[in-house]
Amino acid sequence: MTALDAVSVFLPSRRVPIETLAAPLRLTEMQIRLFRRFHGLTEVRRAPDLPLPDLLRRAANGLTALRGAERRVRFVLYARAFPVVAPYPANPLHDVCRALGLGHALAFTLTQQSCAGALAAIDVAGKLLAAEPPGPDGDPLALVLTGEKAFTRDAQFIPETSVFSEGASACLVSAHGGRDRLLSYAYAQRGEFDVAGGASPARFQREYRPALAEVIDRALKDAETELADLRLVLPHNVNLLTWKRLGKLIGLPLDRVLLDNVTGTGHVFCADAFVNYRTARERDLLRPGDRYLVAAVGAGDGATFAAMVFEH
Amino acid sequence: MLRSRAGEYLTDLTRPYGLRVDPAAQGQSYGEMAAELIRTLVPDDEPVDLLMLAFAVHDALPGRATATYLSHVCPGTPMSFALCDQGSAAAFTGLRIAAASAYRRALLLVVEQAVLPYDPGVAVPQRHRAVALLLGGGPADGGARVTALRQHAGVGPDDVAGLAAAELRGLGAGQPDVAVVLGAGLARVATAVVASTGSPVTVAPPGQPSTGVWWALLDWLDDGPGRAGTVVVADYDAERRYLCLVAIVTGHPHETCDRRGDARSSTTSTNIRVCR
Repeated sequence: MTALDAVSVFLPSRRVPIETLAAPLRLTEMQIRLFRRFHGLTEVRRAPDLPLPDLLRRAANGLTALRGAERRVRFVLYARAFPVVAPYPANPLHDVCRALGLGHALAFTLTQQSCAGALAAIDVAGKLLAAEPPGPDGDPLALVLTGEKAFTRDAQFIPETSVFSEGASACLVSAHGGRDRLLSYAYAQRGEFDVAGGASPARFQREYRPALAEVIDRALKDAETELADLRLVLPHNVNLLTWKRLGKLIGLPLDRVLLDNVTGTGHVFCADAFVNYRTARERDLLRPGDRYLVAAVGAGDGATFAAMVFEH
Repeated sequence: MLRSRAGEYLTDLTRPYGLRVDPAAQGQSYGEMAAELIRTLVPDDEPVDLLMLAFAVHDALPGRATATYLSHVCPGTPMSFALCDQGSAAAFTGLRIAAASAYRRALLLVVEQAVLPYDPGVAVPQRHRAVALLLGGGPADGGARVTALRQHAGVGPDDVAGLAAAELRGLGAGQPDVAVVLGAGLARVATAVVASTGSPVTVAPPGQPSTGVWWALLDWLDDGPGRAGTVVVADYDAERRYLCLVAIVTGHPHETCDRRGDARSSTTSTNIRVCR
C-alpha cells in the first residue's frame, strides 16, 4: 500500500503583507480588503533571492530520511501547478536531481492539474513503485517534489479567491511503508471550465464546493471511513471562507480542519498538503491509527478536485 | 483571452534568462492538436480511463491545464495529466505508468511544436506533430501489446551504444521475427546496433525529437500490415541522458489507415492503436 515515509517543507522566512501586493498586481483597495477580511488571507511568503532550484533543494535537504537512501530512489516526480516555469530547454528538475545525488533516478514533471497535481503524483509514484522489484539497497522509493515561484501575475493570486506563497516540499513515497498509508484517492476533473470548454465562471463558483464535497465523500467511502472518524482534514489553503462553507455543506466541524496556515501563508501551489502535514506533526495532532483526509483543488483553466484518505 | 494572458506569462518566464519574446511567433496549442487525435482515435463507446499528454517543447499557451481540458473532450472523462521535463523519455514514462496502473484503457498523446516565441538557443522540432497511442481495452486476441519496457537514467554518450545493443538483444533483437525502430537520438549508434544484433533497423529521421520514433513505428506498422512479430522501439535523450526501450508484440493486421496531411490514423482490433 502506498505510503508517505517522510515529508519536508521549505517556506521562505520573509512574510509579505498582502497590502504590498496591491500596486504590482494592480489590485484595488477593495480587492485587498476582500482577501484580508472575507477570505482571511493576510500574508504570503516570498524569497526574491532564491531561484526555483534552490527552493526545491532546500525542501529536499530537509528530508533527513533521504540521506543515505539516495540509491533506493528510483523515481523523482515533480508535481507542479504551472505547466511551464522555465524557457525551453532549461530544466530545473534535472539540475536539482543531480545536486541531490539522484542522477540515477527517472525524473519527470507531472502537471496540468493545477494545484491538485501533488495528489496525482503520490498516486502515480505508488503505482510505479508497486511494479518495481526490490533492489540491493532495500525497497525502492520515490521522491515527490513540489515548489514554485510566484513568477508571473497568474502565479501570484487568483482573483477574488486566493494569494500564492512561494515554497516547496519533498516527500518520500514507498509502496509498502507503514507510516502514513494511503487508503483511498478520489478525483474529478472538470475540463469544461477551460476557456475552450465553454462553462461559465459563475457555474464554476456554484459547483466548486459541491464538486469538492463529492470527491471527499467518495474518498471516505473508498476508505470505508466516516467523516466523523477523521482525526483531521488537511485542506488546500485557498481561503478560510471556502472551508467554512464547505464545512457547513458536509457537516464537518471546522476545529477538525487545519486552517492555521491559510492566514499567514496562503496557498503554496501544490505544497499545501505537505505544509499542513508538517504542521500537524509538529503539533502532535496525529496519533498512530488516526485517519486524516487531504483535499486539493486545482483551478485555473479547467479544474481538478481531489481527496485522499490516509492512516497515520 | 488565453493568447493575451500567455503573452504576459511568457514575458515573465523568459525575463530572468535574458530572452526577448516575439509576440508575432504564435506557436501551436497542444489542446487543439490532441483534441483532433482524440476525435480520430477514440470511439465514443470505448471510454478511456487515463489520459497522459507528453511533451518536451512547451505549449504556445504555457499556463493552460491542457490535459484537464482534454479529459473533457475524451470519451470517459479520464484521469488526465501532463508529463514533461524529461525530453523524449516522457512518452516511455507514460507507457510505464499505463502498464503499472489498473486503468482499463489509457491514451498517451505525444506532442511537439515548431515555434517558440523566443530564441531557445537550440534546435526546435521541424514541424508541429502529434502521435496518439491507445493502450489496452481491446479484445484478448493476441493482438499488439507492450511486453517489456526499460528505462535507464544517467546514461552517458560513451555508454549508450553498448547498453542499447545489450538491451535490444535482451528484448529479442537478432531473432528473425524481431524488428527494431530507433529514434533519431540513437541514429549515431544504429550501425553498431545492426552489427551487434543483426536485426533490421528503422531509424527515425532527425527533427522531431519527441514524436519521431513513434511516427517511425507507425510507418513500420503500415509498411507491413499483417506481419506478426515483435518490434522494439528505442530512443536516447542525450541532453537528459535517458535510454528507453519498449517491446511491442504485433499479431493482427492494421485494418484502416486514414491520411490527412500531417494527421494520420490507424485502427486495429488490437490492444495498441496508434494515430498521428
